[in-house]
Amino acid sequence: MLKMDFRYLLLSVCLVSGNAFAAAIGMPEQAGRWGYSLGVAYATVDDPDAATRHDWALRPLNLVYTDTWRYDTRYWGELFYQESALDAAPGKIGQESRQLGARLSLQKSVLLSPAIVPWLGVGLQLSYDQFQKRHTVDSDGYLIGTYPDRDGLHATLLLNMVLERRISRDWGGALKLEQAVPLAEGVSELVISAVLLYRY
Amino acid sequence: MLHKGLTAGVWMAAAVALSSCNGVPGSSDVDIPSQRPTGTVSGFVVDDPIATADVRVFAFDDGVKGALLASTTTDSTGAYSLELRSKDRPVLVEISGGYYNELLSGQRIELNGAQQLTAVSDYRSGQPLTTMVTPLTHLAAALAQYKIAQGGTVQAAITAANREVSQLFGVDVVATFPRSIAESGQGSPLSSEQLYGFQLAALASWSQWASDQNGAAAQSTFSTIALSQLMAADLRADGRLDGRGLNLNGDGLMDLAFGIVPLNADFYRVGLAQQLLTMAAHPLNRTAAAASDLLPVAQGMATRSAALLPVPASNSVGSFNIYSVEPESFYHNGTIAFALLVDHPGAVAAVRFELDGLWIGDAANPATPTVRIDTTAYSDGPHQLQVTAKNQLGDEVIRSFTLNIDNSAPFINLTSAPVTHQQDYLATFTVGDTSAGVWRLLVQDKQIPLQQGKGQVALTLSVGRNSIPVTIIDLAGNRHDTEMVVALDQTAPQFGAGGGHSQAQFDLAGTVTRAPLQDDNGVPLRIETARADLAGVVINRAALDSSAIPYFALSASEPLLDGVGSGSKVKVEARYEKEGVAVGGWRTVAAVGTEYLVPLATETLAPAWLEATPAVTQGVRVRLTDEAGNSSEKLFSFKTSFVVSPFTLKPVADLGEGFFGSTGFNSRAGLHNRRFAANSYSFTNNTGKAFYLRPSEAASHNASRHVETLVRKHNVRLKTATEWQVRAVVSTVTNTCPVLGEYQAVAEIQNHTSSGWQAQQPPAVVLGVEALVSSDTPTLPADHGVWSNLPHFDGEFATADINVGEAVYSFTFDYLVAGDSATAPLSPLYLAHWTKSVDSPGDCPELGPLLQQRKQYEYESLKIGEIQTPANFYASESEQKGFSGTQFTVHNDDTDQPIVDIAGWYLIPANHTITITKTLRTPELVVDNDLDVASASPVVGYTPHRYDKRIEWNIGREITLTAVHNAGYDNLPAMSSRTVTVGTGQRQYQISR
Repeated sequence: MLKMDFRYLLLSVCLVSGNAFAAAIGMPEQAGRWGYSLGVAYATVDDPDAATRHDWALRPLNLVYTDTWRYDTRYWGELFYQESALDAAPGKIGQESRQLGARLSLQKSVLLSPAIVPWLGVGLQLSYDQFQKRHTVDSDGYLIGTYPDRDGLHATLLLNMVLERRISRDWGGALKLEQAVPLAEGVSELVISAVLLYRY
Repeated sequence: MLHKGLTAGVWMAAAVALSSCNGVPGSSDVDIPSQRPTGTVSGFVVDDPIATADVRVFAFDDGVKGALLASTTTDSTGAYSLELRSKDRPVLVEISGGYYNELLSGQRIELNGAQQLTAVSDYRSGQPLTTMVTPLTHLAAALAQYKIAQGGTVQAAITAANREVSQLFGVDVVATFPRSIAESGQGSPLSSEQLYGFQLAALASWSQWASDQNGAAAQSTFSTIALSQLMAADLRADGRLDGRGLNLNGDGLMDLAFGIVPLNADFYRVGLAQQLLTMAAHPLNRTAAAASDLLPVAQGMATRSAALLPVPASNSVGSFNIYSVEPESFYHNGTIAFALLVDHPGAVAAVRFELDGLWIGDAANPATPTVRIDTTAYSDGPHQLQVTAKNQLGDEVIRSFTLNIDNSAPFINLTSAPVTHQQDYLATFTVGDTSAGVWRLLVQDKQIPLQQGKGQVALTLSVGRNSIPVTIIDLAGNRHDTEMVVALDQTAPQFGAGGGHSQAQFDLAGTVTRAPLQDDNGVPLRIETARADLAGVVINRAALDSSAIPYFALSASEPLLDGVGSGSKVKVEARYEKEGVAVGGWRTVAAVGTEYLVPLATETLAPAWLEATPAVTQGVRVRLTDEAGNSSEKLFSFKTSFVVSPFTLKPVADLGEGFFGSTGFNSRAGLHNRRFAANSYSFTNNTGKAFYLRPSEAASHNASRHVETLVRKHNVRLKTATEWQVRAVVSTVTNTCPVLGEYQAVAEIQNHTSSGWQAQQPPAVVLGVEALVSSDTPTLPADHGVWSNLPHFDGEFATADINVGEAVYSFTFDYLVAGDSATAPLSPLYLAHWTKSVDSPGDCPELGPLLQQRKQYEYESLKIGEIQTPANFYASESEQKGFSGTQFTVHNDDTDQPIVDIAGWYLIPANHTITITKTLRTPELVVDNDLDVASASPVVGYTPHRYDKRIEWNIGREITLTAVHNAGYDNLPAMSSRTVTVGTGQRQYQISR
C-alpha cells in the first residue's frame, strides 16, 4: 500500500506541466532541456541500528531538467523515485528502501581538453524515505529479529560529474557519475546513469 | 506547443511505467526469512533418576561453557525435554540440584551446589537431539574438556571423548537410555539399556561399599554422585582414569581417594567389573541378565587396554575377600560342612579347597562356597585348609584356615567371647565327640548339664587370664582333661598421641598464625572453603598436609594383663558434635599405619560443620572400644573461622563505549545525569562453596568539560603627571596692599627653608602597576585635572620690612617665582604675618598660599605577550566534577537470572559463573555553546564567551569485593571475610566537536 502511495504522489507531480515545473525553479522554459536518466547504484543505508550491506539497485525513474545559470555554470535538477533492496547478513540489517524526492546541483564546466569538457557539480538532495522490512539474520540466513519501519525527510549531499555529447540540434546524451552522501540516516550510493536530454 | 507536448509525453511515459509495473522496474523485494527452526533436546538424567534437577544447555563453541541457550527441569523419572533454537554447534548439557534415591541403600541424595552432571554433544539446528546425562556422560564431558585443554578441536574432542568412554563401558553413554536393573527384563537377556543400568548400578554398589569402608551412614556422604564428581576430576586432570587428580592448590596432581578408599586404576578396571557382576547376583536385579551375561563385559573392562587406563590390563589380584563362617581354631570331628563367605559373591567364579595340600573338592555354588570334610580320615590335631577363590576376571584370592580335628576324645569349643570385661561371666560352649558321644562334662569339677551338645556355666573371673579346668568323658569312657581360657579385661583402651596433630592455621581476631592443633582449641581455625572437603584427598599425613587439611591424630593402646589384651583389636569410632550435641552417628575410623587420623573435612565430620561461626564450639568425640567391650572416649574440640578461598576474576570489561560513543557532541546534554553501565566483573565461583558477596566502590570518577573561551583583554598602566600653577603677588612696594596676578603654570618655585632658598619642583611622573581593565577606554580617576591648594611645605618663611612713610611693615613671605623683572624680579606666592610700626595705613590681608596642584592621569595600553591590547584573546578553561552514584547488579550467567541482594549481600552459588555490573550516574555539566567563539566574531565583550570543545569522563575500574562464607545470612556479621580488590586504572571516554 505504501508503494502505491508513492506512485500516486509521483504521478501527481508528473501531471503538472513542464512549464509549471520550469517556472517553479525560476528558469525561462525555452532555454532548458528535459531529460530522462536510467542508472544503476551501488547503495547502502546509513541505518541507526547497525550497518547494512552495499548492493546494486536499478535507478529507472529520474526526470531531469537542466539549464544555464551563468556562462559556464548550470543547474541540474531531478525528480526521482527509487527503491533499493538490501539483503541482510550477519551483523547487517536487511531492508527495503523507497525514496521520493528531488535533487538540485550546480555544475561548472571544466576544460580538461578540447574534447573532454565534463561538468563537475555539487548539490543537495531532499527526499522522503521509507525503510521497511528491517531485519537481521544469523550466519545461516535465519531471522534473528526485526526492527520497526522508519521513515522521514532526509538531506543528502551530492557530488557529480556529467559528460555530455550532442546527438542532434535538440537531442543530447550524457553519462552521469554521482556520489550521494546522506547528512543523516539516509541512503548512501554511487550512481552511474545514462541521460537522454531534449532541448525544446 | 510541440515542446509542451513532448514534455507531457515524458511525464505520461513515467506515469505509465509506474502504474504498469509492480514496483520500480528492476527493483527486487526483500523477503524476511523465517526464524531458525527449533530442535528438541531431550533425554534422561540418571544416577538413579534425578528428579527436579535444573537442566541447562550451554553453547560449547570454544570448549568452555558459553551462553545459556535453554533450560528446563527434570520430572520425577529424570526425563527432560526442551526446545532449542540455535545454529549447528557443540552443546554442554549441565544438570544441578534435584535429588535421587540410591539404588542399593535407598538413601535420598540431594545434590549440593557443587555437584553437577554434564554431557557434551553436537547439536544440529532444527534436529532432535537425545542426550542422556549420567555419571558416565559426565566422565565423557570431563575427558572432552581435557582434550580441548590439550589443544584439540572442540568437535574432535567431543567425538573422541564420547567414543572412548562408551567403548570402556560397552555402551553408547550419550544416546542409550540407562534402564534400571530393578525393572523387569524383557526381550533379550541383556539389552544396551540394561547394560547401561548395570554400569550405573555397579557405581552405586561400589560407592556403597566405599561408604561402609568409611564407616559413614549409608551413602549419605559417600554417594554415587560424589563418586562421579571424583571420577570426572580424575579424568579432567590428566585424561586418564588413574586415581590422580588436581590437588587443592591447583598446581599439581595428587592421589585421589573416596574417603579412606583410594582410587586407582584397579578400581576402574577391576573394582567396577566386580561390582558389575555383584549386581548381577543382587536381589535387586530383576532383569533376565545373569552374571554370565555380564561376564564378557566385565572381563572386557578388566582386561581392556583402553587409552583411558594408564597401564595394560593384567590379571591383577582383585579386592574381594573370603571369610570363614565359624571362628577359626574350632575343633571338629566326624563329617562336617565347612562354609565360607565372600564379600562379592556374584564375582566369584570358582572356589577350590585343599586340606594339608591335597585337593578335597570344589564349591558347588561359588557364591556360597561350602565343602564337606570327613575328619575321621585325618589325624587329630591342627590341619591347614587352603581355599583358593577365583573371580570371573581370573583374579585369585588364597586364604588358609586352621582346622582342628579331634576324633579320639571329646572336645569343647567356647562359643561365648573369650575376652570380657564382665567379672560375672556366662560361658557358653559346645561339646563334641567322634562316635560314642559325650557322657559327662565337668567344669571346675562341677557337672554341667548339656542339651544337644551345648551348655553354659556362670563363672566369676579374675582379672587377667582365667584357665577354667574342664573334663569331658564320652560314652566310650574316653576322658579328656582340658581347659577353657577366658580373659577378664576391665581396663579401657587408652588414647595415645599418635604422630601428633597436624599443623593448622588459627585466626586470632584477624591475625593468622600457624601452630599445631591441640586437643582443645579455643582459637578458631582458619579454614579456606576449598579445603573444607576432602574432595578426593587420601587420608594419610602426606596427602592431608600437602592439601593443608588439618586433622587430629591419635593412637589406641590396650595394656596387656597377664598376657591377655586386645590392643590390636581396638575399634576406633568418631562422632561429630556441635555445641555439645551429636550430629550424626558414630563412624569407624580406619587405621593409617599405627595411628588414626580424623581430618577436619565435611566427609569425616558432617555438612553441618560448614554452618558454624567462629564462636561455635565443635568437636570430634572419639571412642575406643576393645574386644572385651571396655571403651573410653575423648573429645577433641575446635572452632572454625571459614574464609572464602581465593577466586580469580576475568579482566575487567569497560562497558561505557555504547553509552558515550553513540552520542553526538550536539546531544551532549543527553549524557548528563544519566545512569550507565560502566564496568563488568566476571568470575566463576570455584571455591567449592556458596558464599555471600558484597561489592563496593573503590575508585573515583570525574568528568572534565574543556571549554574554549573568547574574551577581550586590555592591559593598562596608569600614568600620573603632577602640575602646579601659581598666582603670584604682583607688587609689594606700593602704598596699598599687594595685588595678585593670574594663575600661571610653573615648573619650579623657590621655597624658603632654614638654610635659605631652595628650588622645589612638582612631583615627577608616576607609573602605576599593570592591570587588566574591562574597557577599551577605562575611566580616569575622579581627581583627574582638578586643582587643589597645596598646604605650606614646611612653615619656614622669609621676612621683609617695608618702610612706608613712618610706618614700617614687617611681613613674611615665601614661594618665589620669576616675576616681572622690572618691579619684582621674584614674586612671592605667600605673604603673611603683617605687622606695622604705626597705625597707618593698616594691615594687609594674608595672601596665600597661592600654589595649586593637580594630577593628570593617562592609561597606557600595554601588550600581553606579543599582542597589543585591547584585543580579543582565545583561551581554554575546564570544569571538573567528580561523580559516583555507584550501583551494582549481579547476574548469574548460568541461570541467566539476576541475583537479588539482601541488604547489599549477594549469595553466589558454587560453580556458577557470575557477572557483576557497575553502573554510575553522570554529573550535570554546564552546556556552553556561544557561537561567537566558533565564528571568531570580532565583537566580543570583556565577559568571556564560552564554547564547549570536549568532554571527558574518566571511569575508575577498581572495586572491592567482600566475600563471606555462607554459614547462613544471620551469621554474616560474625564471619571472617575475604576482601578482593579488582580492576586498576581508569577508562576514559570523550566526545568532542
